[in-house]
Order: sequence, then structure tokens, then C-alpha cells
Amino acid sequence: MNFKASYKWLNDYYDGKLPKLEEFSRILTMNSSEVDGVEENGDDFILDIKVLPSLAHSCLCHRGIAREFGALSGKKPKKYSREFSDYKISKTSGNLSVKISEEKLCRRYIGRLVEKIEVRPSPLWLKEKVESVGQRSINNVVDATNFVMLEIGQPMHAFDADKLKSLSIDVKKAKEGDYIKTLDGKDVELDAETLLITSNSVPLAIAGIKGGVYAEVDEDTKNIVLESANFDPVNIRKTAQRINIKTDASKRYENEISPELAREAMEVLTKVINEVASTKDTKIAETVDIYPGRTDKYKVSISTKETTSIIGIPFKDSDLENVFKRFGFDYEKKGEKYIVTIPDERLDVRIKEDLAEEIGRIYGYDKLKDIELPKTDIPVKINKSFYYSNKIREIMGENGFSEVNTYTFVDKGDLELENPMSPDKKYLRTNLTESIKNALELNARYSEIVEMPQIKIFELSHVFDKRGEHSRFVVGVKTPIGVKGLPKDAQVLENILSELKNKLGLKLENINNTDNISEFDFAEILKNLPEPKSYDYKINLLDNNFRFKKISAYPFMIRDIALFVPEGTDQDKVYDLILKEAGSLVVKSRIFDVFTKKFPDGSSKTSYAFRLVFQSFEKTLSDDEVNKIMEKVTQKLNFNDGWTVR
Amino acid sequence: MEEKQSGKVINPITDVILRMAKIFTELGFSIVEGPELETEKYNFDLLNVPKDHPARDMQDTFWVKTKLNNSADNSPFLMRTQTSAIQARFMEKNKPPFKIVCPGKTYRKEATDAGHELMFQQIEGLYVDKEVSLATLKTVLNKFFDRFFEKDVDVRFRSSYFPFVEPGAEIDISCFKCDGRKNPPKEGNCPVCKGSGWVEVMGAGIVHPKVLSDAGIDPNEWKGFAFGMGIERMAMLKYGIDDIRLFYSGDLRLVNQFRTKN
Repeated sequence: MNFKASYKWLNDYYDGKLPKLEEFSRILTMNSSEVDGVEENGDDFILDIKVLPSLAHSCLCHRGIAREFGALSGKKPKKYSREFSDYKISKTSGNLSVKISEEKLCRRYIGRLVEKIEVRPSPLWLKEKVESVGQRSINNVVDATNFVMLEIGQPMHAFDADKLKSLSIDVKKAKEGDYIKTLDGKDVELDAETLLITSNSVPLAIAGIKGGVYAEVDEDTKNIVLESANFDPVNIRKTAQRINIKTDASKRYENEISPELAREAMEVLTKVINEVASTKDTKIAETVDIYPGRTDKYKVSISTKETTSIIGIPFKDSDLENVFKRFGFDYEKKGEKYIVTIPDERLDVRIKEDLAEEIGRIYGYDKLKDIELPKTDIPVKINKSFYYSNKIREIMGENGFSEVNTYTFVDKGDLELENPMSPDKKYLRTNLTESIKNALELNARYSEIVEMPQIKIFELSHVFDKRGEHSRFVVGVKTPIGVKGLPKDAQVLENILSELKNKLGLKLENINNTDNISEFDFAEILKNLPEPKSYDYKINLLDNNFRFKKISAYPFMIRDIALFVPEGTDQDKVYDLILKEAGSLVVKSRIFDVFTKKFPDGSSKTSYAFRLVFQSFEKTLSDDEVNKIMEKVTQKLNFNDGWTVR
Repeated sequence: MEEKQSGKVINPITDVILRMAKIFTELGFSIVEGPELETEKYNFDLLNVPKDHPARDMQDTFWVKTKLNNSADNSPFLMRTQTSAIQARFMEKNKPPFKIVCPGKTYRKEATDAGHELMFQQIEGLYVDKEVSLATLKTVLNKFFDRFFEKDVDVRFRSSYFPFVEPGAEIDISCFKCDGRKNPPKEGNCPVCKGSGWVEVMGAGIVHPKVLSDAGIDPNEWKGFAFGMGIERMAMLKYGIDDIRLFYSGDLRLVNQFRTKN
């Protein structure tokens, strides 16, 4: 998941001593999470950080990123990006009560009543913080909750206490047909799987996803209930998908956050509220903390030897200890093993391989060296289907056939996709014949461009029906309309099939034969072929310097030119002259007719006929343009003694 | 003026697969194939991608609505999103040690553009033995890429995450076009690496112990590495093809350009 971080905010953890943006981004990208983009924001930068799923428990906040950098650089960040002043607990007139009816779905709920505050615009520092990541400043209370989430990663919420019928919170599931008007004014229908924050059975918020308008904090709000809670990630994810609402809070919860964080977050939020929203009469109550999902501290053990065997770098004990210290992991050594106490927020570190990764990436993968590969006696097995696919490719290639690949998804078939990309790609194809038919038609139009007067193609691919998946081989031949003097398509097809039959030494029985297209069951072919001993098919690979030439999106034009030259005139001389004169718009050309004729005057002349294909990468060529080029070519040819363009 | 072409046509995907198959065979890997129509079990569950886990969002899946004749249970079929599914199938049926590569088509529901297609091919690599580390992986990849690009390239690891490996890494190679910025073009940035000197080529890592144990392989006794790379991406890099959508359009304007020297 991407997290937008302010460079200035991150710098606050280091008293402004972070390395330059480019270097900071590089370090983070190489050994932690990729900085996917950087955007200027006044005198600050917003970093778009693609937080790895494994780091999404701890790093969807500024402190998480600052700590990652701390471990990578060995420079410890401060606990918070700024100092907070303390607050005092005092007796409030009301008493908050909290109940969790769904203990599996709500692992912890901390509520706190704060009375006699004042909702007003945020002070400059808070406004700047919220705006530094491109968010809008709303008011001091809402901004304070957002600040805590962006600072340490715990989503927070505040309700207007006076809008509740009584000061009681119940975390429970919705009733089918309930609905809630969310803060952005949308009516959301709820079902029995949706977890709600309720008060006297009135839905206040969709737990962990979105608050409702019912108890919204507004400019007249005086008394508030602060919420710092922890919810089951799967339930949040399913609900967010079902109601199609994804928020900064829901994204954090669905990646799972440690319930331990809720306590610290409530402390920070209370301090900020006390600082930015208090009046002389403000009263802050004790928290109500219901914590059914408490878990023990996690410990993972690993030895230096184990780390070395996973990463492949010869580590020393001090290397491991150094990494643990950089992360602030507590550890003790028992025998060869380090027993490491994992900080609560690092839900990603659960087994020794996880620890090995932390050691590897902090120590630096750049220190990985090539090794002598161990000799193994694992035999290489020759794959029969792979072998014969390529044997077929070899034979087809030798006979001037080109291999194409076409789409698996088509507009009709037996197996339908649940979520197709478009209606014409709704089904899995049941045969290759249809695809090859389309490919023949497409390529017949490009015959001159692709230098294939008669289109000869094949494909090896899979098809699908209710019985499952089947491997197929298909061949097709098509002569473009108007092209004459070539062997019949049916004959060409028959020839290649008999060539295959002879080379493979087996009978081929097609399962489909229409329009000079033959389709075969590849598994059936394989069944009757012997096991190969080695990959001895003969297919030459491309030259290493081969480069693809961009395909023009514009139409091409064909011009033929024929001329008589004195017998014995070199064909290439004529050809070269034509190409040189015709210039760079000629993308393909070929000689298509040669004959020699005796004239009444006794001279003997040869006729050469050339086909030129014109195409531009910049525009559609006009007849005029091409005609002018041809006139130029004609003049140049006629200029030679005894040459006559016909 | 156009150049004359000669030689036999070879589909660029076939060229790349054969090139890879040859190198990996030389390095002792066997080629293994598997179905494109898969179940959640092999495409996700056995690869340590639990249901309702955000990691499943990393790949948008095409689900098959129609029931097949032989679907014993009600588990839906999907178009495999990764050739790692072949790895899961193979491990379930074979005892280590083994070294395999698995080429094949994969499908992902994402918006298409010059760099993204709904279907594309991958090649998966898996080596499970007594002693396999990230250093073994790096050595194998170094040998592979040197031979694939027919020049000396460097391999570097960037920290990353894939559910079925731990540790996981994104693999970059030094740019084969500008030799890792040593021979930059006279004007502008190198078209291949955009001036960074590095090209992202694959994801890889040490096989997660849960993936091994779920396949019935004791992770205390065996370790492995796995990698996966895009075939079309490698063809695009190696031969300068500018649009991935050309590969599955059946268009000979792509294919017929690719001719061998003899």
C-alpha cells in the first residue's frame, strides 16, 4: 500500500539532519520500501512510498518510515516528530462506559471523555502537518486525530458526546437493513456482518472504516469522546469491499495493527487535544480500556549460523547484535541462539526467516558475493511436451510458417469469466481455429509489409471447455485477395501436414478442418511419440544485436514499376537505383517478375518488375506524394541508355 | 533505405523461452509445465497467500464462473496469476532435491497499456536442496543473465515482499544497453534504464518455510530459492519491442521481423 509522507515531517525525527532527498529515497528504496514518486509541496516534498505488505503493519506512518531509516542508517530517530506537553486527569461530570459485544472482531477499545473543549481552527503547526501530506485541515479536533494516525499509524476518532443519548458505547454487529449516514453524506446500507460503533443502538460509525454524521464533531461541540481501537483485519477488509468504502483508517486496519499501539495513540491524542482544543475549564477523564485481544510479547530465536545459511553471507555475532540494536530489538543469547523480543508493531517478524531478512537487508544485500555452486547429482529430465512443441516449431519454421500467439479470452465459449475485462473477452476459447482465422485475415492485409505473399501461420496454445484444459496445435494458410500465381492454399496445407507426418513419423488426425485451417489435439500427437533423449531440436536463435523496428500506425501504399533494360544488366544495379531514388518512405520491396524478350530490331532486353511499399511513421501518405516519388524514379531510370520504364 | 531480410522467422517469445530453457538446462534445471486453469489451492493457498489477505490484492484475478464437469468440491477455478502455481503442484508430488524452471502463460485483470497485458508469460525457477541461500540465488542469476544478454551484467537485490518467499527481493541487473551508465548515449537518457543504470527484471527469494511444509517438505531439512520473471518483458528489453500488446494480437508485423541469420 502506498503511503504519502512529508519529507519535512520525517526530518523532524532527526532535527532536520536527514540526508538529501535523493539519497534518503535511494536508501529507503534499496533496503526497505520503494519511493515511487516525489512531488513538490511548497518548501517541502511529498514522498509516495510503496510500503511493502510486510511493513504495512508498522510503516504506514511517519514514525515507521523514520524508524526504518534509523535502522538502515544507524541513526536513531526521536520518539515523536515534536514535543507534547502533559495533561492532568480530572473529575468529569459524565462517565463513559464501553462494551465490546464482538470480542473477536474488536480486539481493543479505548474510550476517553474530554469535557469543555473548544472546536476552532487548528494552530499553524497542526495545520501545516496535515497539509504537508496533501490533506485538508478541518478543525483542531479532527486534525488532531488525523495527526496521530499520520504520526504513529493508529486511526483515531472523536464523537460529539452531547449527541449521544447516554455516554455508553457498544461495539456490535449491525442488523440487516440498518443504515448509516456517513460523514461525507452518503447513506450506506448495512448487513449483519458489519461491525458498528453504537450508542443506545444508534450506529455512530462503521467500525474502523468511516464515521457517521449522527455524532459528528462540529463547531458547536463542547464535549467529546475519543476513540482508539483495534479491529480484526479480515472483517474490516471484507466490509470495506462489500460497502465499497476504503479510507485511510480501513487500509491501515486491514493490514493489521498491533492492539498495543492503541494505548500510546490515546496518550498522544489526549496531549494534542489538551494543547490545541482546551479551555480553562477543560476536564480530561481516565480512559476506559476494554482489551479482549491481548497477546503476549513475541519472541523469535535465530543463530548466527542459521542467518548465514539463509542469506549466504558469513556473519559474525556482532553483525546480528548490531542489527538488533539498530532496530531496538531486545535480545538475549542462550547458547548459539539469540532470543529476540519483537516490538509489538512488528507483526511481520514471526519466524527466524523474517529475522534473517531484517539482518540481511540492514547489513546490505550489496555484500552478497557469488559462490562456487555445489555439485549436485539432480538429473535434468527432458520434458516431452516442451520438446515436441519445439520439434513442431522447427519443422514449421523450416517450411516458412510463422508462429503467432492469440488471445485466450474470446466472445464465446463454454467457460465464462466471472469478471471479464470487456464483453468481447468474456469466455475462454474452445478452439484455436477461430483465432487463427482472424489472424489470417488480419495478416492478409499486411502481406506486403510482412513479406509473406501467402500467409502461413501456426499456433500452439491451450483451449478450455467443461472437461477442462486441452493443448492444441493449429495451422492455417491464406492467400490475400488478388494475389495470383501461388500454389493453392489447400495444397500448401496438405504439404506441410505431410511434412510433419514424415518428420514426426506419425499419423495426424485433425479435430477441425475448415477454411484451410487444421487443428490438432497436441496431447493426442504426444501420446504416439517416443520419449525424447535430449533437446536436440534445431532452432536457431536471434542474433544478440537484433533490434525490433517500430511498427507504423499509418496505412501503406503499393506501387509497381517495370522496365526493360539491355540483357545482361545487373539486377541489383537496377534494384539499388530504384531504392536509392525512392528514398526512406519505402519500407518493403521485392522483385516479382523477370523475363527476357527479343525485339524486332534484333536487340534482346530483360524486363524487371519491382513492388515498392511506401509507409510513413508520421502521417498518412497521399497518392500525390507517392506519385511524385514514382515520377522521379521513372525519370532517373529512363535517363539510363537503353532503359525504358514500361 | 530498407534492409534485406533473410533467415527463418522465430517468434520472439519462443526465442526468449528457448534461450532461457537452454541456459537453465545447462545450469541443471528441468523444465516443468502446468495448467493455466487453476484452483485457489495451487495459485494462492499453498503459496502462503491466505484468503482475505491484502497480499491477494497484489494480483487481480480472473475468476471462472462456469462449473466444470469434474469440480469435485465447490472451489472455483481461476486463470493462474503466476507460474508459481506450477511450483506448488510440483512440490506436492516430488521429493527434494530438485531444480526446475516452469514457463507458461499467466493472466491478470489489469488495465492494459504498452507495458501491461491481460495475458503474458512467466518463467518460474525453483531450487530445493540441503544448502541453498540468497548467495546461491545470486550466483545462478548472475550466470543466467550473463548468458541471456551475452555480456557481463551485474545483479543486485532490493528488499521486497512476496508471500511465498522470505527473505524476498526484487532483482535488478546493470543496464545491458549502456553498461550500467558506463557507456551512456550521446544525447538524452538511455532508453532501456532511463539513465538509472539498472533494470528491474524479476522477483525472487528464499522459499517460505510454510510453503515447504504445506507441500510436505521438512523446512528444517530443506531450503530453496524461487524466482519468477516475465518472458515478454525480457523479450522487450532484449530486442527493444515497445508494446507488450503486440504479442497476442497474432500480428506478423511483429513476428516476421524476427529472423535468424540462417
